[in-house]
Amino acid sequence: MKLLDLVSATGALALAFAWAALFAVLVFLASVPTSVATQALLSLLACCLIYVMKPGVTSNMTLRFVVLSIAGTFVLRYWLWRLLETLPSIEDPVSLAAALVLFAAESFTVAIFFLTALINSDPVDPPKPAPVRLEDVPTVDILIPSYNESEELLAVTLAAATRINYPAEKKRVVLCDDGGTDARCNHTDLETRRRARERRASLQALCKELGVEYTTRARNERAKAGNLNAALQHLDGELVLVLDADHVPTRDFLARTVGYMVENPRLFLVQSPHFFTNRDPIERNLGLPETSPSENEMFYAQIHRGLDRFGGAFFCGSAALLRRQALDVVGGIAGETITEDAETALDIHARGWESLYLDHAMVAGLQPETFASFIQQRGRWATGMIQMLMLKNPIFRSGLSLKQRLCYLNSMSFWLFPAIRMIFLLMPLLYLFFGLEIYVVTTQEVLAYILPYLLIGFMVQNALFGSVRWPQISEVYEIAQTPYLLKAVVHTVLRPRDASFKVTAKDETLDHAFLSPVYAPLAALAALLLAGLVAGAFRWAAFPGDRAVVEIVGAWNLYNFLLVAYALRAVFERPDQLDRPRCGISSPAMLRWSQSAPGEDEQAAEVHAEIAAFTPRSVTLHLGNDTRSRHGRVFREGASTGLKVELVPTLPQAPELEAPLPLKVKAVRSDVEGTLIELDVAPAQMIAASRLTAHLVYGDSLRWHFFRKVYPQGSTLIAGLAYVAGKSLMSVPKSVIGFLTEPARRRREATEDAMRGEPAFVVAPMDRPARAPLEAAAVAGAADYLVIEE
Amino acid sequence: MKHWILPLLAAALLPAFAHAVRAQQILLHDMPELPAQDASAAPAERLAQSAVPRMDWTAAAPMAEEHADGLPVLLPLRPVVPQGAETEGYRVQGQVGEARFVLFLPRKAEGAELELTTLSSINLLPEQSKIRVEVNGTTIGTVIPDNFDALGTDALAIPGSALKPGRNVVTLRFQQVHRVFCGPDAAFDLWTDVLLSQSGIKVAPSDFGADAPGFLAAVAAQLGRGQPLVVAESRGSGDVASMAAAMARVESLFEGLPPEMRITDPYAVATVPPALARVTLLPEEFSPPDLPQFRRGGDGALVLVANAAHPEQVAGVMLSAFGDRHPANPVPLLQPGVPRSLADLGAGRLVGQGNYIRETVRFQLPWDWLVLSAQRAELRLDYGFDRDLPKGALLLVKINDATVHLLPLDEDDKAGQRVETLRIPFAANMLDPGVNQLTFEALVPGDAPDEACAPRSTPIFEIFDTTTVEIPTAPSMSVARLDMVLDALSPESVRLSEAAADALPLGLLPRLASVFVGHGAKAPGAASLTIGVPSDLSTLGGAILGDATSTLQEAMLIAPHPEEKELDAWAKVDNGRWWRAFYDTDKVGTALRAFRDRLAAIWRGPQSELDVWLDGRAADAMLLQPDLDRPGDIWLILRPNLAPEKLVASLIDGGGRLDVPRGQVSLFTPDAGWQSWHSSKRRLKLHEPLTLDNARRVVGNYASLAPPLFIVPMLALSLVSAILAMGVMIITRRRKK
Repeated sequence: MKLLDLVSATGALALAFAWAALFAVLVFLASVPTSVATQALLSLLACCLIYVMKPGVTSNMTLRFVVLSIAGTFVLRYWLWRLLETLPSIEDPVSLAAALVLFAAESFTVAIFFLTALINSDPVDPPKPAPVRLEDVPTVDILIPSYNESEELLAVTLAAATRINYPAEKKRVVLCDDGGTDARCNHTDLETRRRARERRASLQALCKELGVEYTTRARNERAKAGNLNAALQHLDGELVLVLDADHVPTRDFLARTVGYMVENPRLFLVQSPHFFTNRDPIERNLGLPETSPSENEMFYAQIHRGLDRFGGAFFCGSAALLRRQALDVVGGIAGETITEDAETALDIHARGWESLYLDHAMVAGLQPETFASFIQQRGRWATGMIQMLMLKNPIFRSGLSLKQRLCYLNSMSFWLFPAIRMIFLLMPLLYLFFGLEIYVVTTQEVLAYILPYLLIGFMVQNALFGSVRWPQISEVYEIAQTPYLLKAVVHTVLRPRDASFKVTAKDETLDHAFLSPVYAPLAALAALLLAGLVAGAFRWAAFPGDRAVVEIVGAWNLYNFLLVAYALRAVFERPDQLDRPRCGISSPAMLRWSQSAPGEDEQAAEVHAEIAAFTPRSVTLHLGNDTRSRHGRVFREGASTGLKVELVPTLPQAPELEAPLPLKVKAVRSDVEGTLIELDVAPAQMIAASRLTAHLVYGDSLRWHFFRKVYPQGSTLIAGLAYVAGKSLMSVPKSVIGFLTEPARRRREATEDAMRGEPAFVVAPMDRPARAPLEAAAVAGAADYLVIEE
Repeated sequence: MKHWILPLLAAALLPAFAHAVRAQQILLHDMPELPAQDASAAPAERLAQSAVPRMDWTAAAPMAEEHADGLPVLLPLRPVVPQGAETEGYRVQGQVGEARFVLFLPRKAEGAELELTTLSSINLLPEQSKIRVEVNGTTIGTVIPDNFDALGTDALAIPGSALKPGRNVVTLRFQQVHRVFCGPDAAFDLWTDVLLSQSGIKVAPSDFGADAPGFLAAVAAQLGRGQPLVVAESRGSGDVASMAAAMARVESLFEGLPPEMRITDPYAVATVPPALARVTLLPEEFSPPDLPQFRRGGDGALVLVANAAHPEQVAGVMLSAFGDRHPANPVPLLQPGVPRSLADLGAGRLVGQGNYIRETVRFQLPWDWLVLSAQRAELRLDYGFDRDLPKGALLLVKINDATVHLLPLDEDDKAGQRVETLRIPFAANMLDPGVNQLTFEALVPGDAPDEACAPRSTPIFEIFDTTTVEIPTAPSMSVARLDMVLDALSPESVRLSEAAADALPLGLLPRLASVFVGHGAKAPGAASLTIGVPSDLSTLGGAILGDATSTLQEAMLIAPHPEEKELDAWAKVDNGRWWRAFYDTDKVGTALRAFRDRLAAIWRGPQSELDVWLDGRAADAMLLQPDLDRPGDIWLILRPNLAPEKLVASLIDGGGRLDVPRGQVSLFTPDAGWQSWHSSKRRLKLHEPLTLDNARRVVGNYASLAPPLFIVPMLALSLVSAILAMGVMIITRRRKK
C-alpha cells in the first residue's frame, strides 16, 4: 500500500510539473497580442467547443476538464488583455483610478472563476461506510441550541431528535436554551425577565415530556458558540450532532453518518445539506417556479462536494456530526467570529483532522420568511466570513494543506460579492454621468473579447451548475443583497472584531402582500441605474462622436438595470402557495367522532381519512368522496365546525404513535375531489402532535431527496437567459405599480383590526394532496447493526 | 560645339538615305535643311519607297514655318500630382481646393501672361467663386470660374520678378460656391477642369535655347500638345533596356507624369505637328566624344544628340542643370515610439474651410515596422472650431481612411477656443509599413441647405501643429507585399519581358522606370519589376498564382465596368449601426455572408481563395508577386493596348492615394484604382534576434497573420493541460481508509 502511495505521489508530482510547464506556455500564449480578427476566431471556436461539450460536463470528467481548460485559457487571455491593453493612461489619473477599481473587481471574479473551476472539477460522493455493530456505535450528544424559537417549533425538532434511530443508551438529546439563561431570567427589564422565566419553565416541561435534557447557562456569552460550549461542558458523548432549532432531523441521520466516524478516526466532521420546507423570500417574491432549484442547492449539491474532494468540507452550523475529541482539541466551538461553524472547522482542519460531506439531506428547516430577515441572516454570514478572512486568513494559517487553504479562501472571499457587484453596477455610471474613461476598448474588441468572455462565463456556470442554479439567478440574488450587505462587509473589513450575532427569525408569518420595510436601498439602486440609462440616452444624442462607447456602456448599464429591476421584486413580499408543498403528506388514518350518536357503537363512528398535512397545532385531512360513517354520520361544511373528533393514524412502523389524538374541527370544505377537513390541535395535545409531526412529515429523508434531486429541473443557458430577460422586463411595470399602490395598501391595512397570523411552521394549506410518502426509515436492524432501511 | 564632327556624322548617315526620300531626321543646328517639298510626298508613296517605316511630312513644313515665323509656343502647366494624360482636363472638386503645377521656362520671361483655360460646373455661383493664382508664391491675380458651357481662357499678367528661368511653381487656389445648395453633398457638385494643354505661358520659339533648360521647356511644351518625346535610336529594344535607367532619370526631371517617350528608328520620326524637341542617340562608333549636345534641327526642334552607349551622360547633363527631381510631396518618416507633432511631420497647422473638408497628413513608417496585432497607437489632438456652426457639424478623424473618432463641431461650449487636448487611441494595425494617412474630414451642413453658402471669413476648424501621433515600437519584421517591393525599386531594376518588348511601346519602360527614381534606398531587399503582357502569366509559376493563372488572364480580357462611386458624405458617418439589423435584412444577410466568408478564408487554401477573389474582376493591369521565395521579383502585366497615363500616375508617390498596390496580387483599372489581394501564405520575416523582450509581439504578428497557427496550438495545449490536470486529480483522489 505504501509503495502504491509512493508511486501515486511520484506520478502526481510528475504530472503536476508537466502541467505547470504547460501552463507557463499557455500563459505566454494567452498574453500574446493579436489582431481582433484572430481573437474573434479564437472566441468563436472556444465558444462553440464549450457549447458543444457543455451538456456532458456534469457526467463526463474528461469533458469537464477539457471545458474548464479551454474556458480557463480564454479567461486568462481576457484578463491579460485587460491588464496589458485596456487600462487608461496614467495621464488621466481619475479615469485610471476608476479603471483600476473595475479591473480589481474583474481580477477578483477571474480568481473566483479559477477557484470555482478547481473546486468543482472533481466533486465526490463518499461511498457508504461499512455497517457498524450496535454495540460498537459511539455515544452521541444531540445538541439543539435555541434562543427565541417558539415552543411548537422546538417540540417538533426535539421530538424528531428523540426519534432518531440509534440505540437509546448511546444517544442523548439536549436543548441548549439561551432564551432562558440566568441573566435573562433576572433581567432588569421586567418584561424580558417574565418572558425568559416563562420560556424556561415551559421548555423544561416540554423537555421533560419528550425525554430531552434541558440546559441553560448563566449568561448569554459568545452567542451560539458559547451556548454549545456551555452545554458541552456537561456532556461526554463521543460524537456531537448539532441541529438548529428549526432543523428537524430525519430518523436515519445517525445511521447514515456515524459509520464514517467509526471508519475514519481522523474524521472530525460529517456535514449534511440543509433542506428547507419553505422557499426563501427572494425565490418566493421573484416568483420563481417551484421547479427552479433552491438557492442553497448550488452550495450543497455541488460546491460542497467539490470542497470535500479537496478536504475542505466545513461545518455549516447544523445538520453536522462532530467528533468531540476534535472539538476538545481546539477548545470547543470557536467564537472569535460570528460564524462559529466555519471557524471551528478551520481551527480543527488546521490541526490535521479530516472532514467529509454527505450529499443527503437529513434535516428540514425553515428559511427566513421575510426579505428583511433573509437580509439579516445573510448579513451575519457575510460578516462572519469576512471576519474569518480578516482574522483567520486561511492563506496564512499554519496546518492547512494548500487545497484546504484554497477551499476556505473560496468560501470566504465569496462574501466579498457585495463590493464586487456594486462596482460592476456603478462603474458604467461613472462614464454615463461623468464621462470617465474606464475601459479603453473598441466596439470590435467588445465583440471579440468581452462578449465571448461573458458568454463563456455563463456557459461554464451553466455547465457546472445548470441542474442546481438557473442562469443569471445567482446574479439576481447577489444584486438583491448587495445594497444591504455592502455596509456590513466594508465595516467588517475595517473593523473585523466589531460584529455581533443576531439570531435570524424563523417563525414569522406571511399571510398578505406588502412592501418590505427595507425596500429603500434596492429601490434607490434601481433608480440610480435608471438615471444612468437616461444619462446614456442624453449622452448618445449630445455626443455623436461617443456613440459607439455610449452604446457599449449603455448596454452594460441596461443589463445591470434589468437585473436590478428583477431583483427589486424581492422587496414586494407576497404569501406563497406551493403547488407541491414540501411538507405535504399522504398517510392513512381513521377519524373518529368523540361522542357517539344514540344507537351507535363506539367503534363504528369513524371514517377512513388521509392525512394531508400535520403540524403541532393543526391537521388537514382528506376524506375522499365517501365521508359517511357506517351509521350515516357525515362532515358538513359549517355544521361540523367545532365538532370534537379523534384521529388515529395508521403507522405500522411506529405503532407507539397510533394513539388517538383529540382534535376539533375547524373547517370543512368539499369539492369534486372530496372533502378537506381542517382540525385544530388542543394545546394539551401539542407534544403528541409534535411527535406525530416529526414522524409523519419529517421522518423520512427520502422525501427531502425527492425535493432536492427529483422535483427541481435544470435550465439550459438560452432558456434561462430568456426567462430572466422576460421576468426583468415584466418587473419594471410591476414594480412601478407596486410602489404606486403601496400607500393605499398601507391605509387599508391600518384600518384592519385583526392581525392575521399563522405560525410559519404551519405551511400553506394543502390545495392538492402530496404524493404518497416515500417508504424509508432508518431502524435498528435485527442483525444488531446500525443500518438504513430503504 | 565641335563642328568637325558634323561632316563625319553627315557622311555616316547619308548613305542610309540613299533612296530619294528625304526624311525628317537628325538635323543639326548648322546643317542645311532638306527641301520642304520632299516632305510633302504622299505617305503611301513613302512607305512604298522606303523600308524605314512612317515618315509623315505632311504637317511638318507648316509647323516648321510656324516656329520659324516665331509664333509663340505655349509652355503648359504640368500637374505635380497627375490625374491622367497631359492633355486632359485637370479637375479640382469641392468648395476649397488647391492644385500645384510646374512650369519650365527656358529663360527669364518678361511681360509674360499666364493663360488659364477652364470649364466649370454649372452649379458654381460665379459671384462668390474664384481661383486665386500664385506663381512661385506670388499672387498674380484671380480668375472667376464662369466658363460653364464651353472652355474659356483667362489671362493674367505675371510680374517680371515672379517668374524665373527653369522650374516655376504655379498654384491655383479654388474657392467654389454652389449657386443653389449648401452642404457637404453640394460640395461634390462643384468642380472646375483646367485644360492643361491650353493653360500656361506663351513664349517665343527663340526663347528655347540650345541648352538643358531650353530643351526641358521645349519637351514640356511638346508634351502639353499631346506629342511624345521622340527618341531616335537605332538598335531597338536591347539598347533601350540598357538606356532605360538613364532615360528614366531624365524623365523624372519633368515631375508629375513622366513624359511619354517614343523610341523610333532614327529615320522614322513622325512629326505631326513638327516637334519642338527630340533626342537622337548615336551609335558609339558614330558618336563624337563631346556628346551630348543640344542642337537645333532643321524643323526648329531642339535636338539632344547623345551617345547611345553612354546614356548616363545625358542624365548627367540634365541633372547637373536641374539638380535632383523635386518629389511631389515628400513624405516624412515617423519614428515609432516617439510622439511626433504635425510640425515635425511638416504639416504645420491645418485649417479646414468649406462644408466638406478633407485635410490629410501623410507620414511614412519604416518598412521593417510591422504591427499586425491590435496594439494601441495614439493621436493627441489639439484642435478648435468656429462658433455657431450648424447643428450636426462633424469632424471625422481617420487613419488610412478608416474613422477612428468622430467629433461634434456644434458644441457651443467648446467653440471658438482651443479645445483641451483630446486623446484618441486607435489600433496600430490600422497602419502599414510605408506611407500612411491621417485625415481630418469635416462635414458641415448648410446653415440653410437650400441656399448658397454664406461667405465665411473664419475657418471651420483648425488642427494645431502641436497635435501629436505616437506609434508603438515594433520588432523589426516584414511581410511580403507589393508596395514594399515597389518602394525598393530603382530605375535599373525595371525591365521588359521578351513578350512585352515585342508587344508594348519601348518608351513605356523608361517612363515606368522613372516612377522609381529616388527609390531603392528606402525599402530593404533586392527588388525587380518585370513588365509583361498577359501571355507572360503562364510562364510565371510560383506558389501564389498556382492554378489561378487562367483566371488572371481572364481578368485582363474582361472589360472593366466602372462602379458608381458613393458620393454621400454622410454615408460612412452613421452607416452600419448595429440596430440596422432590425430593419435592414439585406444588410444582415450581407454582413453574415461576409462574416462567413471571412472565417472561411482563414482556413481555406490560398489557391481557391485567389480564384474566388478574382471572380468577375477585370483589370487593365496587374501587379503580381508570384513567388514568395523571391518576394522581390514582381511583375506588372499590362494590356498591350493600354493607355498608361493613369496607371503611371497611380504609381507615382505623392498621389495621396490609399489604393496603392499591396498584397500579392493587385488589379488596376482607371476607375477603381488598385484592388489588392493578400495571400494567406505570406511569410513573416524577423530581422532581429528573438528575445524575451520582443517574443510576445513577434508571436503576436505571426498569430495575427495566420490565426490557425496560433489558435490550434493554443487549444491543443489546453487539451493536453486538461488531460494532465485530470491525471493529477485522479491520482490524488482520497482513498477509503
